[in-house]
Amino acid sequence: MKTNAVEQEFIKAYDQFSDAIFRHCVFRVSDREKAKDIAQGTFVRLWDYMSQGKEIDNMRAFLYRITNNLIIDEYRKKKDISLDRMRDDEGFDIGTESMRDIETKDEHGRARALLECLPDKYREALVMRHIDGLSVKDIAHLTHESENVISVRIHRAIEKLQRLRDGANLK
Amino acid sequence: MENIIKQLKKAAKETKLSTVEKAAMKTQLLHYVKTHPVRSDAWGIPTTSNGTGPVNASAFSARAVLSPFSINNFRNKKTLSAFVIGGLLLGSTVSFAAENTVPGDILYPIKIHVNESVLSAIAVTPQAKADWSVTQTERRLQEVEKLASTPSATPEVRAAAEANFNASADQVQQHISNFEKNNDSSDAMATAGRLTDMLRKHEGDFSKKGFAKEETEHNSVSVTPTSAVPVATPEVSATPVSTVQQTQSDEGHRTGVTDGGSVLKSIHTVRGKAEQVQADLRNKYQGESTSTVSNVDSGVAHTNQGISPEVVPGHSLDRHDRGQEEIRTTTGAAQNRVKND
Repeated sequence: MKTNAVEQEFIKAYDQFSDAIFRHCVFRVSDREKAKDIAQGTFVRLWDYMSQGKEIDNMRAFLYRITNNLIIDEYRKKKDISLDRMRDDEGFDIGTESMRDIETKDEHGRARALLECLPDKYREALVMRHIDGLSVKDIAHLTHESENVISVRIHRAIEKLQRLRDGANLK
Repeated sequence: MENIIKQLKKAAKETKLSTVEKAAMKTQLLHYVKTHPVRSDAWGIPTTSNGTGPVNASAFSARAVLSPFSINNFRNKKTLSAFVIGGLLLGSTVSFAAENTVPGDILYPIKIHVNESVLSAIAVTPQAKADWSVTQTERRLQEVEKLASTPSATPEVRAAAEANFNASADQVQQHISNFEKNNDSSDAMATAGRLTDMLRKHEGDFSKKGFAKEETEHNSVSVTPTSAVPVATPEVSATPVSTVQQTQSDEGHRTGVTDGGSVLKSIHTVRGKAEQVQADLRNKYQGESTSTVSNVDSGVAHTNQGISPEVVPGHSLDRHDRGQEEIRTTTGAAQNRVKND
């Protein structure tokens, strides 16, 4: 039956990509629970698409695109939340207080904390490139930017992280 | 700098869904899948509750099977450019192969409708168009010649080719008269000159090829065009009767080459007409009152003085090409020839 075939494909996609998508979300959103929500939302959307009988050429790129869109939506929602609340939540760092937090956390946490300090767009490009392993071309397609812009963002992201880390180490 | 990256990557490796979390999410998702089944109108084919196997399965598998023409193949830049290049190459190969065809060949329509359409579209100016129609006439002539030398060609095909050739030559005349209407003397004469040159050359080549021995006879195959040639041709007028008879009998003997002979005749006829036109044009635009055209009576022809030398350039007759000296018709020379005869 048709449905079974599509289901099989869906399940296969989930098994293959769920970890990667989750990881991406974690490094973008820094809230594990929220990351799980978004990852699940990604696959829900995937099913919506597949159940309409549409074919997908590149599953991986498609999933990343959905995830990215959801994360962007999340950012937009977040902007409405007051900054105080953001500060109180674990893992949310803004401004100079982040430096102290960075010191206290373990390496893993430190890396994630550093990422927090990056502007959204930089973080997006960096995570996609070095954590998800997407090519610059793919990232450009996903985000509807030129490859040049993506390369620049990645570079600046790394620089900024460098400065932040060195800044934190000095203290 | 890479340090940071390494750190990130390390952190990334450690981050993943726990088995429990993963399973839990899967369950939830599958629940969602069940509650939102595949839409039956997705493929435009109604599903039945018991799912009749063959029909539906084949319908889906038909989609699952990638056909080389599916739209997905065109989403990839690489395959798209491969298709485009393949298409271009195929098209050019066919066009190229069509160039040598004659009426009756399979690819002949491509030669006419595709290749020649493109070539004529490139000709923008009236001069270019006229030149192109001369070239076209040459092409038709080449087809005629080619058919004459293929023994397997049927008479209908040969006749068709000849008809094409004549039609094309008429087209050229049309262009010339258009130029005349617009008082464009230089283009008219240039086109007429091109046409006659081309025809002469072909006549020469063709005769040489097929009728090596019979040069002298074919010298005088011209019956009608004598009058068209402004140059004094006392030799021709002196010899026509006997040689024509000779030619006819000779042609009768060589059955295999009769078509060649008729081809030559038709080339000659067209050439004669073209030369007539050219002479007319010369008269018109050189502004000479004296007519140098009809000179069956050779002596009369060139008593007019002040004939501009342009009257006779290249009018060294092909008849005389074969081994005989070129005749430059100046008034003096004409007189001389008359005297010589």
